[in-house]
Amino acid sequence: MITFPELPGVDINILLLVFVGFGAGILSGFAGVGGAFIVTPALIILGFPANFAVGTGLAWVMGSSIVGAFRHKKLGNVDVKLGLVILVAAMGGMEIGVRILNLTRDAGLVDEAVLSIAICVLIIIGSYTMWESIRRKGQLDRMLEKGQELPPPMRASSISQKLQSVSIPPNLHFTRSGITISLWIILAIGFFVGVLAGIMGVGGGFIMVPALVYVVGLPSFMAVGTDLFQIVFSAAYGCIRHTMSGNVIIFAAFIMVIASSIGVQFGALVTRYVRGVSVRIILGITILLFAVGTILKLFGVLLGEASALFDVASMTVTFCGLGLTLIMIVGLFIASSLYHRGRQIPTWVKSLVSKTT
Amino acid sequence: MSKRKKDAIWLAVLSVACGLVIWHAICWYSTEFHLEMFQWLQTGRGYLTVLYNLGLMLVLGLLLGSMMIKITDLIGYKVDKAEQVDDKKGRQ
Repeated sequence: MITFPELPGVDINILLLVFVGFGAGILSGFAGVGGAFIVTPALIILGFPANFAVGTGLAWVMGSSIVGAFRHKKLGNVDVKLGLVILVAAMGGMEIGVRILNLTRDAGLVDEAVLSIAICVLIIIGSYTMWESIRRKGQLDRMLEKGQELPPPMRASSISQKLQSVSIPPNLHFTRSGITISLWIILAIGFFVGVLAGIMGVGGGFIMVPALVYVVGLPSFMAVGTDLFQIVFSAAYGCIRHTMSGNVIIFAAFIMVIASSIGVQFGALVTRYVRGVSVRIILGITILLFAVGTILKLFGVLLGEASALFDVASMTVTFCGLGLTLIMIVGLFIASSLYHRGRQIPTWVKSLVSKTT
Repeated sequence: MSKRKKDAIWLAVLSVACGLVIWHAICWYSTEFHLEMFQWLQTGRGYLTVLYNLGLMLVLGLLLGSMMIKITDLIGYKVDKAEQVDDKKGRQ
């Protein structure tokens, strides 16, 4: 157990703190999400007051994202130009989101409003991601059944095709990502995601990655790397704001960054062994599990005094979701390793692992 | 000088730097200087705490990120662009 002097009387299990950092690091490196949406509830479960959990979580996101972005940069998965454009728009959107949040707080409806918006966003993104990924996996499975070596070219989503054909000057070409798209579309997407992230109090990676894949038309891994790159800056901004409010326990964030730095490496390296569809499936499952946790939390808020049971259920679902995600990522890595060594793996797994490493 | 040797030297330098940062953080935690800095937020010196927190996360992230890359390079893991067929062709 460890005691932080900023939190007198609260003992934290240091092994669990390390596990949370390590696990969230794997998810961050693999799916390109900051991980705050997992770390914050986990820290609350460990005994951190909510405001400290949010602030410390964001400080951790900053350190951890730098480590992840480094790895993805080395893998060639970061489009710096696109990341900077998105960052500018997302920062503006976040500021608006925070102001909307403050308005709902003044109206006394902050919990209900935030949770309701979060549930809608999570269900829409999670469901679409799952639907598209499962459909794509079905296509790959059918190709394998027919004995065809290479999967068919995945068409960019119809939304991204339409948006890329819109020509509102200035049109920017992003060499690294290989797309040409109007600046205004990128700014609008960044701004919209920023507003949602600001309202929900998270970095926004789990919204941004699907948006970059399905709306902009980026390859999954490029979306992951580019998103991590822009999260470094948005989390730094959040870290500054929360430190000023006295919500950051820097030594706790420090311990978690060290733990997650190892997890991020593993998560990022696993992306070389799996197909993009695997990243999307695991991200979709994680988002939907988080949506279930948020629905339980909303019940807890609406029920008022009888909320303890729902609060515990919400935390449990979120924590178990992290565990399940880790099991799936590690399982995929093992299956891929076996496949490359010529061992037999279940047919339904073959379409999830890459043959190109 | 071979690339491997260079990587090893870089790894040693980064490990020492990382060790120093970790040692410093543990020192300041055990002497409760972190608490003192936390209390500065109520005073005019709060900006130092903000700079420290930001700097610590930045330096730690950079050092660990570079160190991990050097480690994977050294153990012989060839890091190059992952070719994801379904994604790569998806942008046609």
